[in-house]
Amino acid sequence: MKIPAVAKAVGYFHEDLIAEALEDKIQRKPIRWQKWAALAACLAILLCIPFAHTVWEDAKVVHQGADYAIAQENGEYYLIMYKEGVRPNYGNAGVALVPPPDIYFASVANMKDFLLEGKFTNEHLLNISGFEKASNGLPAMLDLNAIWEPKLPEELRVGRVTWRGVNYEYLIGDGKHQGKISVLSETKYKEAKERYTKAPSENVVVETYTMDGFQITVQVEYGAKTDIFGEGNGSYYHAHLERFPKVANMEWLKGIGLQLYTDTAAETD
Amino acid sequence: MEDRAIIALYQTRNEQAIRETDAKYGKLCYQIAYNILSRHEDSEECVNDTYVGAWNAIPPAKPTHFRAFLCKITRNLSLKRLAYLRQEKRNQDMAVSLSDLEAILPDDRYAPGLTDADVGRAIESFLWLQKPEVRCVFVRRYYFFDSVVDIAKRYRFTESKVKNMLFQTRNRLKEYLIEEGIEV
Repeated sequence: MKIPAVAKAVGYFHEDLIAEALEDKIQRKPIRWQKWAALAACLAILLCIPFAHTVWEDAKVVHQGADYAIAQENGEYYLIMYKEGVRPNYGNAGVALVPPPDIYFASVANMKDFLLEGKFTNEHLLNISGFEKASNGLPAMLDLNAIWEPKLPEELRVGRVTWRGVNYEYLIGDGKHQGKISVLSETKYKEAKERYTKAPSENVVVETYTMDGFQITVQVEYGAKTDIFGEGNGSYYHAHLERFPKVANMEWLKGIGLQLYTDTAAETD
Repeated sequence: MEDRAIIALYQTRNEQAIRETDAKYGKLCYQIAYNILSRHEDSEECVNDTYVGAWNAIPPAKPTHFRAFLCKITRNLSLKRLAYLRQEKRNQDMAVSLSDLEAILPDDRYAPGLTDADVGRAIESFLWLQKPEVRCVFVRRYYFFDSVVDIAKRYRFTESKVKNMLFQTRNRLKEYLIEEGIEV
């Protein structure tokens, strides 16, 4: 008697699915107050729609992972990551937003591979980047000085390092803050353009680097009290990575819901 | 030892990796093999082969879920051995029952051109649409070949509830596979 093919087919289950069944307890549905909290979160998201660059109305989930989904809308692919037990409804009434367009020290090459294989998870992000989870469950800030050798410079710097055999690209504001690589959406880039119309001043630093043939422009603002790009311990920074023509059209960028702006001349104004 | 550390041992070709794997996951792998083969010697052999499989796979593989990664290897090896034993008629008294699973999608009902991987992905897509308890029970039964009794104990369900869940899930899955054109 031979083994039925479907028994072998089951052997192709993704490890996320197997890992879930290996846990001793089943992750139950959220209790009532959590449902209300989720509803409140949904309402908050709805209120944010005018400010979001992607609105999901008829998005179709093309790959469902344990803690992420890859959805398709109008021919574009988006990665949505969410906390355990809170699955957005992707039905016709569902609305979800693309997560903040930041890549925390992720290995771009590895991220691309995982995305194309449909196997990208939060855990990958944590493992690849070496981040531990913070109390809120999100990737924690990394103390670079505790990890990187040689010690990183205190001034703004963009570069590439190899750690445990993996290449990482980084942007660092100063020795006190974590490096964060941000790839801006087109909308945010336009906002930035409006905001930064002058040459670099004492409060705004614009620097351009070429790394492995990629032009990388970094804008850093110090000392501002409000900033459309977020706030971090008194310093503000954001960066735009241009990678032409090699990266701009890569499918994986669509996969993580990012859009690279394509106006190379304007960036270094 | 943390999984990440064990994987690092594999990556540096340190044989301690196998000892650590055995200490941490030996019992789990053995249980999976035994569920399928129900023979001590064969199960032991499959577990040892699992370590060899992991050794050969890492690197380049970098498993995200190391435990699940090992389970996968053990399951595949055990099924291969089961097929061999059945072919040789060396053991007619196998514990694992594949008939339920076969009833969902008989071999001769596969749509033309489909691979096992295609079917596996379709079943997985279906499972992600189900409630977590339904999904877990299904995977425990048909991936790990746990008995209904063990599943009921594990999740503190009654046996009849587990049987009913499996029955309903199989029916829904069958409909799903027909709708998706997997089963003809």
